[in-house]
Amino acid sequence: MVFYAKVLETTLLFTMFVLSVYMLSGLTGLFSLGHGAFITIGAYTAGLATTRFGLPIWLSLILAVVVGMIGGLIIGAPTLKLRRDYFLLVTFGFGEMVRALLLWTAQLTGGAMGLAGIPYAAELPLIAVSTLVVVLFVANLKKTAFGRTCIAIRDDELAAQAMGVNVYAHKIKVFLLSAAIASYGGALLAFNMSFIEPNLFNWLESAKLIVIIFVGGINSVTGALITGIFYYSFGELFRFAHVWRDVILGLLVILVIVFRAQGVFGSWEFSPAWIRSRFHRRPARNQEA
Amino acid sequence: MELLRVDSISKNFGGVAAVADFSMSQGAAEISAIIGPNGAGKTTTFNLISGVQTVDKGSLRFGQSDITRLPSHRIQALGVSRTFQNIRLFDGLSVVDNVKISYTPQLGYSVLDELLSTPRVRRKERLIEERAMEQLAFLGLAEHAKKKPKSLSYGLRRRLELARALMPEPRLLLLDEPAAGLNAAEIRELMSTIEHIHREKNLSVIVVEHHMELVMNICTRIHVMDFGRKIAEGTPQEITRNEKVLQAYLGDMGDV
Amino acid sequence: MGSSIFFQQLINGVSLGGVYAVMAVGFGIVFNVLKFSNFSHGGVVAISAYVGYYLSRNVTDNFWLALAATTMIGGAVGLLVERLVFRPVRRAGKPLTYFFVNSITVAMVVQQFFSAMWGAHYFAYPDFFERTAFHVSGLVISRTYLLMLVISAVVLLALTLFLRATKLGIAIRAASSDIYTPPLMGVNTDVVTGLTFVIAGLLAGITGFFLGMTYTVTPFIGSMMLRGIIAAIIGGMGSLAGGVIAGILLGAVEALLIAEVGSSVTPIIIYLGIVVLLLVRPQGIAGKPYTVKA
Repeated sequence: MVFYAKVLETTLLFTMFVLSVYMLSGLTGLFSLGHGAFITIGAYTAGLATTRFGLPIWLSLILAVVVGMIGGLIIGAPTLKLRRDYFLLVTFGFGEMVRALLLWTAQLTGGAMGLAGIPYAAELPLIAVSTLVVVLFVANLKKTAFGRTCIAIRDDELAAQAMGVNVYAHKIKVFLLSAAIASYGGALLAFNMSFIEPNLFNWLESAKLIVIIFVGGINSVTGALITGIFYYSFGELFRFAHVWRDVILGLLVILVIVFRAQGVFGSWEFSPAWIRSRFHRRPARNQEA
Repeated sequence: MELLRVDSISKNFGGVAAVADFSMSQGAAEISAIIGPNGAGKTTTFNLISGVQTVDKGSLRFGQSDITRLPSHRIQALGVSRTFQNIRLFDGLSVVDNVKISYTPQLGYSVLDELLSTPRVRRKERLIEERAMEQLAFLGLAEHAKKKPKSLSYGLRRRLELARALMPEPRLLLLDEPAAGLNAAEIRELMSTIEHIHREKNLSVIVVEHHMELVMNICTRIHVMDFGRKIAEGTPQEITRNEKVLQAYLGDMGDV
Repeated sequence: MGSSIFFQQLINGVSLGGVYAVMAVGFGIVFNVLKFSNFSHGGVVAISAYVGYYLSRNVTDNFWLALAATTMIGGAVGLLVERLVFRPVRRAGKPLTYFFVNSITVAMVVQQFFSAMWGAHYFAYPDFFERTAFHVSGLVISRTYLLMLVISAVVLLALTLFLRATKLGIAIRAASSDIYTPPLMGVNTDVVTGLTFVIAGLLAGITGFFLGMTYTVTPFIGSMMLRGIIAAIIGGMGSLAGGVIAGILLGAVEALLIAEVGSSVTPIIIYLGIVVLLLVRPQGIAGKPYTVKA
């Protein structure tokens, strides 16, 4: 039973990470190969705040989010003005830099030996509620002006700007929000695992988060959720297949992109509106698939 | 009353002058046209006015504001709206959501409101939905509201761009080759639409266009460009009689 | 730092910089033609590093033969990746995003495949030469480092000649400004993109072999590509010459920093340097500012 609870906790945490990347990559078309750095920053901020400075859990969580957002601002401000490749490449480097920083500050952070003895404070209820809130946040954002603006920027930045969208400001908002979710999730991860180390999240983990979104479909939060839950719970349940699952995931992605670019779930969303349409068949005809 | 003042603007690309020393003045309820052979710098002029690109030299004034160095979203907020020569719609958004985009800054609710989906957001969303649907109905696109732009015909997509440009109730509308790719019947329809918009919404329009019938029929003032420079300006009657224009431009068109 | 150690580090750094330059050009040439950041390049580098190891341990102990064979295989893998992964996306006219996602997927599959197969093993290349170093007035010059530098220089020179003087090369350069509109000197788009990936693959083959020789071969060797990417950014994305200069510069600065302040701070300093560079000169040392078309 404990085992399954653990699987659920890990899966939910990773699903939160998938959602943070969904906003950034799925909706806005910005790719961060260093997104794991924000998870690491969140985890270490929370871990250090409690073990080294004796701060209470709730304050450590807030601190983790703040530090993560500051990191996002440092990376985002110079790069989000430039063409997207710069953002991608610089975030990739950022991930490596955070790792180097942790190794360098070994006296404080424990370096390669990792940081142990973090209080076990994030149990299933806290993680479940947090994930649920994040799901609702992201779903709400997608429905309204914020999400529409993201998609407009993704599809045609120049036209979006000419239609009155402050593209740079919006990208910063998206990135900071995404960094905040990632570092909050990272802090929960630290409080859940009690031990963290600099290699917690390398570029590959960040890449997986992106890839999962493309399997689910960039226009579907539901797709990102289901694919994320499926992928991470599968990996936890069948540990022996841990490495091979990535090879399978990779091949699956390429097949999806070549044959069904809109992703497995297209733009389908599991929502009250969809449920209603199940009961009244009539309007479903007019809906665009 | 003068709405837009373009004062000897220039723009170079890699040493080639795309626009050189171009000036024009546009009245508040005027329909004018910029014409000229391909590569004369018409679209670049639009890009400079709408802030998609910034001028190397010269200045731009819209109403009371100096817009020379403003980014395009700020210029749009002041009341300049445009369409694109090569249609640039947001393919990931539905038809109605495409129209909503250009009204976003006016909505005035915060990210926090949106995260929590507060009643304010829901009220504003209903409002914008109504406005966007009105706009679509105005241009006969209402039945396509839920579709994706890619599934529309070429002519309908051009009209959708027009709807999107009209949504924020601009004071100046820039139409970049609105008739390109349309058939004769569609062009006639477009002409009456532009005149209708102009009367109904009382706004100022500049078109860049190759289609002479449209230009001669709806515009009161024509600016002719060649090699980035303005070679003539006048009423349609004056332009058809202008020697320079006949040589540089109309003669050119005769060969096509 | 004494002057002899300084020169010692400088020579080593420049040699390694030569490899970064080759990597930057391999990454940059695909970026130029198809306009996306091709992370699969790291995957091809990793495959080549393993292939080079296998060949030099089991087939031939001749350095030149092993290098040539690895390079060829790298080119073939590059073409294979283009055919299987990128061509279908290009044919369907899908957005650049999908090229990119496919490219990180390839890098991921390669790394995880090697992890699954030989994750726990570290492979070291054999010593190809009896005499491993020269002594020149107090300096020790490693033979492999010298070879790396010379070979990198020759390869980049040959590539430049190819791009400037041959019909196919000129077609690739024409494709860099716009692959979809010009007739590309009568060469069809499939051939141009295929060839671009073959060239990138050949360069990845050389890179993989050199990196394998310099370090040990692990599943993570593809991540070394970060150095090539950094060089490409510093050089100005889209400028191959800038990438070469920046690659050598990066190698030298890195080696000197490691000697001066240690290997743990070096990546942090280099990274911060890049952020500052992007703030003051986003187009890099040789690139043109990026303009948009409306």
